[in-house]
Amino acid sequence: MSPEALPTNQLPAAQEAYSLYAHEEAVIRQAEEMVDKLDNVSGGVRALADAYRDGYRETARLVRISDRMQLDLHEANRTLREQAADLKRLNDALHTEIERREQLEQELRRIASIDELTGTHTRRHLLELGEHEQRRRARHGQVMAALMMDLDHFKRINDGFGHAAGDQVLRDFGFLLRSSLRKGDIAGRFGGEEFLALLPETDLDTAQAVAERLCERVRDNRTLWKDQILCITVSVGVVAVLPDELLEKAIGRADQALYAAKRAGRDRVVVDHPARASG
Amino acid sequence: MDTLYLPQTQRSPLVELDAANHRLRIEGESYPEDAAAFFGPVMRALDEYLDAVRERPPARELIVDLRMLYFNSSSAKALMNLFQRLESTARDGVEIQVNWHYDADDETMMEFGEDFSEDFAAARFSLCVSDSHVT
Repeated sequence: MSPEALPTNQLPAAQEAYSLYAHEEAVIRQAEEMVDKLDNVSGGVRALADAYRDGYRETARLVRISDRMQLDLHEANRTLREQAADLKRLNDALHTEIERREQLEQELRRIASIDELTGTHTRRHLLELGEHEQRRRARHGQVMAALMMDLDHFKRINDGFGHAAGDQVLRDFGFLLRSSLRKGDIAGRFGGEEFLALLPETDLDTAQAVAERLCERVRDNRTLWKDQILCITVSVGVVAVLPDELLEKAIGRADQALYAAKRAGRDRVVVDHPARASG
Repeated sequence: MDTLYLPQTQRSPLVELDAANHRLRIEGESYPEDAAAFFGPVMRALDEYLDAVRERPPARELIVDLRMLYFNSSSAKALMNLFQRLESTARDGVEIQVNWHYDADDETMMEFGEDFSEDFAAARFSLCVSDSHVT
């Protein structure tokens, strides 16, 4: 038996001892082991690819979601900007409107407080100012005088020359009255041709002097009406407004003094002295 | 198994997992400060539930109702994780119906629903439009 024939029959046992093809067999074994390992590795690579594909798909979706939300935000922002601009326009318009109304209100208040014809206060405003002055003066204990005035025989002007002439006379008297008073004095048209002046911090003597001077100026005044000259006089009742006296009551006393002046022949001043007032 | 119930807050949605009735409900806006902290307990409870139904599939299907008004990217990731769990459970033989609710005038949520629907094969995914003034 040739030694070469032995391994063929006893391959497994002789393998470790010797083999003509030991090298080839080792290479095959090695290759097969490597294929097994490759199978393991390829599984890992496949798992990686799967994970990457999943991750990639998720990332792509997240980016889509983010993009969409950004778009929404962007549009919301633009809407907000437009709304802000609209609001600003509205606000500006509103401010303009408020200014216009404030001017209107001021104008209305002026109309309500100033008698257009004579430039003196309206009755309502005069009384408001008077009440305010009376309260102020009650706190400080200061004196105040009141003048009640009525144009004499005013009806004759209206009847004889027309209402426009009467208006001109009233306008002139308004000017004379206002220019006879000091700053801080309150003068107003009380009725048709009846006027009231309140003189804060003014004693009776001073008030009487103011009234006499006004009487004189009215008497001397000449109102030009078309080609005619109109003359008028005024009667005045003067009182000292007593502390804590209702303004209404003081005005009533001034009215009495005015009628006393009328009864005494008009174009004069009658002073209601405190002694007589309390008696 | 207990019901998991998280009330709606300004930044997080209502979450209700009713294991006994096989229903899961998530509703509202979702932008929690820490999405992982918020969704962590939800996912744990869901996993526990899904493991149980995998072993003994229930007679009735699991119904998942989602009614999102807004969610941030982290919440989107959490929703995708939720969908993966549902789809894989459905592949294991559990009947699952997912309803994606959105308001008629909410085009964004409709588009997101359409996008999510692509991932479902074993579970059924339905887009459910509702009138915006009906809650």
